[in-house]
Amino acid sequence: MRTILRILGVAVGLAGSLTAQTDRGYPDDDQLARALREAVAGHERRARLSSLGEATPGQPIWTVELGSASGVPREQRPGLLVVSNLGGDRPIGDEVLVGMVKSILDRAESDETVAHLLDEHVLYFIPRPNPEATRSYFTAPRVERRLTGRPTDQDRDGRVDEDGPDDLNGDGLITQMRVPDPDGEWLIDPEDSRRLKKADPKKGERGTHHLWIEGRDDDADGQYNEDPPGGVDLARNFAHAWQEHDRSVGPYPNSEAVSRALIDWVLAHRNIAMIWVLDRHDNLVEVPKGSGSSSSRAESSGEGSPGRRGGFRRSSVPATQIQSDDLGFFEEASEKFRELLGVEKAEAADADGAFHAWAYFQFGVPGLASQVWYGPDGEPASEDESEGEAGGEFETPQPSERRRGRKPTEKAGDDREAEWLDWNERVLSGRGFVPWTQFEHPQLGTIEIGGWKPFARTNPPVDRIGELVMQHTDFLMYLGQQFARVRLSEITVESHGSGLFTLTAVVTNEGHLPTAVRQGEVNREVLPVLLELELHGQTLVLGDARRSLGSLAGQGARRELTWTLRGEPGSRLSLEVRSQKAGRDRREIRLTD
Amino acid sequence: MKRTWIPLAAWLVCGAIAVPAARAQEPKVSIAWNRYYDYDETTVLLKRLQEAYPWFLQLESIGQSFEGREMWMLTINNPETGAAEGKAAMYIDANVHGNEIQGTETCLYTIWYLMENYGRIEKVKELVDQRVFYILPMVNPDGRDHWFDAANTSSSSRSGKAPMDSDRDGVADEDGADDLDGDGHITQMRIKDPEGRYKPSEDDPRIMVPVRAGEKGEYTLLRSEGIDNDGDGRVNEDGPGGYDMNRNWPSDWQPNYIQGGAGAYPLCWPETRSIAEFILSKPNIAGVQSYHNTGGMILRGPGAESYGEYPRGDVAVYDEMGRDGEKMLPFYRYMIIWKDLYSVHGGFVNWTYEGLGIFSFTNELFARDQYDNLQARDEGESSSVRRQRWDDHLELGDQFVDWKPFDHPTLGPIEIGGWKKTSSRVAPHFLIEEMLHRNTAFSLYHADQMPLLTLEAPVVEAVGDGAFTVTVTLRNDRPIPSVSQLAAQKKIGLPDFLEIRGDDLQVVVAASRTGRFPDTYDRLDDEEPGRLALEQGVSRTNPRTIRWWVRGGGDFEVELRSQKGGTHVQKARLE
Repeated sequence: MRTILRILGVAVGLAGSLTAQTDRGYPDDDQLARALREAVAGHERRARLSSLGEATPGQPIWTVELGSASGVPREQRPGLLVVSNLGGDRPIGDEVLVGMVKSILDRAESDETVAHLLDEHVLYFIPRPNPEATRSYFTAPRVERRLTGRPTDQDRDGRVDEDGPDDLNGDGLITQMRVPDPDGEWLIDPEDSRRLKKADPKKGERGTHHLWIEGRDDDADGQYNEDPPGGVDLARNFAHAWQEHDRSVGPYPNSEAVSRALIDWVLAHRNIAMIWVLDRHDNLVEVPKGSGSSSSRAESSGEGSPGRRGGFRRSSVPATQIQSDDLGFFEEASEKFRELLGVEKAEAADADGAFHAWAYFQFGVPGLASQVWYGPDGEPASEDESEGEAGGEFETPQPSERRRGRKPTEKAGDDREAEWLDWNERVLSGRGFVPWTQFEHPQLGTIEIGGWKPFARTNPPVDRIGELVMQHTDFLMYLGQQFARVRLSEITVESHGSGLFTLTAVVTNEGHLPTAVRQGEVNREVLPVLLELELHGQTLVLGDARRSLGSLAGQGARRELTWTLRGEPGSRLSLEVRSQKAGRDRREIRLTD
Repeated sequence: MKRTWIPLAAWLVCGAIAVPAARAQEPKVSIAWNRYYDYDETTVLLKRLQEAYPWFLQLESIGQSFEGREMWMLTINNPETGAAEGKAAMYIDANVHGNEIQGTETCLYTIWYLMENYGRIEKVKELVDQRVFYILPMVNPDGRDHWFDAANTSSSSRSGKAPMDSDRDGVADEDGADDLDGDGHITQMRIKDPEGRYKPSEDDPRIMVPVRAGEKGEYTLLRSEGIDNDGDGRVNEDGPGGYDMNRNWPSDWQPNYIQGGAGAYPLCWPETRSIAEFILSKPNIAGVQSYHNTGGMILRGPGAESYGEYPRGDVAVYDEMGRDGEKMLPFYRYMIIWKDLYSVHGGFVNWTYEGLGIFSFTNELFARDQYDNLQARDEGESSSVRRQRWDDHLELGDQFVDWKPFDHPTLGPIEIGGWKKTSSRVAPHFLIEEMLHRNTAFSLYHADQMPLLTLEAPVVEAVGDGAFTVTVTLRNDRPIPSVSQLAAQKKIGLPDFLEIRGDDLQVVVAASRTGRFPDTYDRLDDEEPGRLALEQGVSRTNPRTIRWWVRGGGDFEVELRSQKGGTHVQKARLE
């Protein structure tokens, strides 16, 4: 049963929904398209809306580029990519992403820092690359799902997509079933009958119920809802630590048209220097541990023994932990993020096959992940229930003095459920949870149907959107200040007479990040900083015209380079420094006596 | 993916095929088996074969290479004995490395041999009637074509032709080797150098040998012919492509910094992607062979030590086939890739077994030891001297280009000479046919080891009052099980299904016979006792006997449906 739950993308008790009036808070595909068009309208100077491919026939994968149209071409500027809702069950991410686009563009009109960021850099936004899954939010019955449409035989019975959930009680929601059974592993919590807890045989407890997703056994194989429509969890379909033989991660990495289009697009944009994913993963609240040592650990003991044919063994394994040199950046970003959102704890999904993990480990840039909304965090009940209607309009929130969310109360992990139930009463006035109600099941007899509504615990009430957009825009602006930035800071020409000159140039990284994070050097995906001298009639005596500098650390790290050349006094040449992630700089030089 | 179908001449029914006479055979399609064929010639041969044998052969393109060449896939199936998807299939490909050419001719030979001998050799008929062959002679047609048409070494043009910035200077493919002397070959450069560490050998002055400590050399070796095309001080450091399509498959794929040439992600190239999609669409593939060169090997995975070993039952099957292969292929050895050769992450046969549970081999065609007479070797003679002598005596010096002076644009006076691309890795012309036949024979043997299932006639016994037992036995007459142990462990693909159906038949309970005692049965707890999932499939060592207790009467049928063992039906009556 556990497998089935994971395939469905519904952890029992993690599903839920909002009431009818707040449901309108999240945009469907057409509303999202309209919102994107509105967000960029009138900002042609700084914004471009396009598509990098089709998610499903006729449904574009939207791409927003923010960056001044004049100056250095956008694809040559250090860039930041934000992707939302890869899994498909977090439309809040799309909402916040569009809000950020709007907010950045509005701020750029009056805020010098924002305008400068868009002059020097490019910000890319890709919302909802997996619309197939998100559509289940808008269809009846509503069901929380994060699978692409690829038909898949999850239960290996030779029939495909034949046993999905069913809305037995006709309330338009797929919730859960409590099925009385002495073989069940769940107990109704004596302290709160809404809750179930796992029976603990060590305490002499015996289970009394199964907890299953609402539905029939459509194919009469004794299992309930074990082969729902669709097949691939896009958020686990990428090439880092992809879990072969897991039936919901696709037949191979990037197997889905969407994941492949997204990766190919990123690989064609080597100027992307940071990637931030708004989905179910997190490394911004809970910072992952770094690797204590270099990533190239020996796979086996010894140097590799000669084989039968005198060959040798390659002995290295890929990095799976953040390089210790890069950890500082992640920690600082996390500190800022936690401060802005007021969140201290996260229940994060495993990063195997995740896009942000690919971004760091294989693309070689900082790959950040956050969940947008981290669940009940002590927020007060909304003063006015009608506030929810504001959602979906993508209004730019005004910075306010609204107090940061409180830190979650420290409780045992088991009591998180109690927090959710408390929040449901306090904040949602009970709207997130369907009370358990008896039902005559055609196959199971008398059962109860109820529990968390789909999406109730993955997406916040829409009255939170404004605040979340503001917090996320602030964090985006923080990231915007972290780019590496190469400059030719000092250039001196020394004449030795007889047309001999010594040229000295200092290359400085004036930005915060290194020109390549350590992992980008280790995986060789970030090109070294390149320096090129364009001669006009001069000849080099010492030093190559093209030189590779490797990587420059952040915060003012410098490198001095010297050439000796012969040329006509007064003649000109030029020098250019180029970095994939830190831009470029060019100087015209005159050989003066 | 565009598919170009060569239409099957459907009107040409089986009866129209001439059965070759028993006397010395006049081949219907004449092909010279003492030479190699480039992409266009191979395409023509495939079409000629298909046109000659349209009943059995279907030719389609499963995609285009990076440069737009067709990925030809030829299917051998006898439609009279059933659709291709319902039979165990042997998949054979070749030439994923553009320079490793001779597997392509082996593929052509396999098709030709099966067709020309159908109806003449009983075993050939049996293989063609019982099995399906999916044959893709050119995995890397771009690399092949460049290897044939352009100046190359024996090991260049291995990659596909998508540009790649091998030296990380921001420009792709800007400094490859150059045929400086215009003789059509990329050979080697040497320069006279009083500080050089090499000198001509005393045994044969064409051979360069390193000097001993304290000894004075005459030459410095400068490797392959070429110039510093991009002015970065290095020669030939960024040639065409530079990746390895045999490191691009999903199982144990590792990024470039761990596994050189792996590509940006698994199946990132059109060639590998098209093949993977084809194979994933054919769950009946039960055997895989992927021909490479060189060295005389019958290779199986694992590719990396970290994998551990394959399940014991599967290893036993591999060992049986590998050892038989060694007997069929003199100078070839049965080897495990990581242990006996080197580590490979993301290799093709690793994916087909570790990912898909299919018994897979890679043969490395041609061993240099096949050149000369081992028994007559001179004691202490170096392999270089021997190689020169083979060439002088057996090919009359055809493969070696003598050193000649050349005025290099930046290095000044140098000498150019050395071995041609057709030496060393590919068999010489006079040994080609034997190589093709022996490897074909091994792949046909491999195909013959694929599961061959039998569903025996049901035994019906009345046990009173409209109740019966129905007992069926399933056998596999071949070593390869219908579900490999690995596939069963990792839940790859589908289990075999055994189903009993009748208009008036209700299954009460199903059971499986235990061990060797005839009447001991274990109850099967399947939720649908009339439709049993056999997760372990059927293996040669473990025939299954299944008994149902049923009620009802009249006709019924039992169906065994196995992805790799075909579909088998038996009809009977409850009485």
